[in-house]
Amino acid sequence: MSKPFVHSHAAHCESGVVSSLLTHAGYPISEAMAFGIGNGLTFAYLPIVKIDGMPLVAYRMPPKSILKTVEKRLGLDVKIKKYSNSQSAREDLIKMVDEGKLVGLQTSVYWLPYFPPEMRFHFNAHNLVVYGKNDTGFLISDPVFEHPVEVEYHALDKARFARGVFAPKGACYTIEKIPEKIDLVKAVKKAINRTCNMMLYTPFPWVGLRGIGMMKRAILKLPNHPHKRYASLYLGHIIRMQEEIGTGGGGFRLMYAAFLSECAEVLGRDELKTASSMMGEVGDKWRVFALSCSKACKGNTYSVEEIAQKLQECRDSEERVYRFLKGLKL
Amino acid sequence: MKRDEAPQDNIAMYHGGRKALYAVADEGKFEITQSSGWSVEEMATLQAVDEFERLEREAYQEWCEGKSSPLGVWMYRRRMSIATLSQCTGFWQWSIKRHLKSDVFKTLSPQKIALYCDILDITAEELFNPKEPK
Repeated sequence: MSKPFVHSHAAHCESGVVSSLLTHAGYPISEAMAFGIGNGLTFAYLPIVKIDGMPLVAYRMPPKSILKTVEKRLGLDVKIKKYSNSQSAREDLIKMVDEGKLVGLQTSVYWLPYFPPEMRFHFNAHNLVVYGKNDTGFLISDPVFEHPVEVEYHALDKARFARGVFAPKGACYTIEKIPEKIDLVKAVKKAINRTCNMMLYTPFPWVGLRGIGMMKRAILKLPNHPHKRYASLYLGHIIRMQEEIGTGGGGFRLMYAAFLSECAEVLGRDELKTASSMMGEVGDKWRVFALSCSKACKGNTYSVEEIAQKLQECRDSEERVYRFLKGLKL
Repeated sequence: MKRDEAPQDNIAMYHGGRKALYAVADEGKFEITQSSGWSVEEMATLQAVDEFERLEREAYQEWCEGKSSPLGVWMYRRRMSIATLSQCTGFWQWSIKRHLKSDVFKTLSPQKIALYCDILDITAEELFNPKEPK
């Protein structure tokens, strides 16, 4: 197990960590593949769950869902531990690092000292990899950063035991066992079908394509809001949820496109390449939508109809991709 | 998005760092591309940061005038809303609203003050005398 760890730069924290852990454990897998098999893609608009007074807008599944789904689909053995206090969590982490284990951690973003100050917000579901230690702290490979970093013991304790929504409670995870035979073809087929079904046929009005429709209706109602600043803050919030929180770009649609093009090779079906470029266009449409939101944030004159129209285009082109994928009968 | 279309706006908040994005490379395949930031993202993030700074300055002003407690200044300085602070401390939102009042804050027990200090990562001395916002 004394193989040197190689840091790789990823677009999203959780899929990046899963990819790093699996690759190091001897099963090389790309970030996009981990994201796809883990059913990372979704859309959810939850007006009841508030983040600083704004509705929750999510373009991917809740924290730890990628890890758990990949574990299930590939038949891995993943050990997740939580702790009641930071002292025992730190001691245990030191022990695991000394044994040469690669450990994934869930942390808060706000208390990580290497994050740029402008980007530090109270978001508790960030993921990173601990691959070693020195006298003062742990050596950390944060997949969304270009290079590995070093974090002092005390600072990492604070980030692991941040409180509030999704409180990590020191959560850490290791991959204990990888089965000798993995049926990637079956896993991929299942994952694609699951994502399509969720986006197209969900019974919940705030999830999938129905959720996009719900957000559109909320945008159309913005001019009626009594506070003038609200509309601008609301649209800014949507952009942040799409482009900054969890990153990914284009609300994770571009990463899913990368997954689909890998699937074309795994399954040997060229139609999936078409699906991949269709999904790429969806990602671009989401970026156009973000751009029109940002124009509205800056200037005073804008039309919510135009923004809603851009969102409708995202929804419609997404629907075409999922129907196309369903039509392939994987 | 093609590889050469990936935004390279060199936004200040990355401090020279770069972010990974997926874009179409030469052979029509999606690959990881480094981006130095997109001005749209920068605008949205700075808007959120500015909003917290504005609230912090307002809270500081009110504290100076004796209208409210210093807790509000620290809450916004740590980029928290009443809802976030409530989730972190376990206090109800209405009791945090009471703690934001100057006269109620003065009567808080040392345990409650200690909990606030722990959550906000400051000493009691700092909690009672916040420095002026930048």
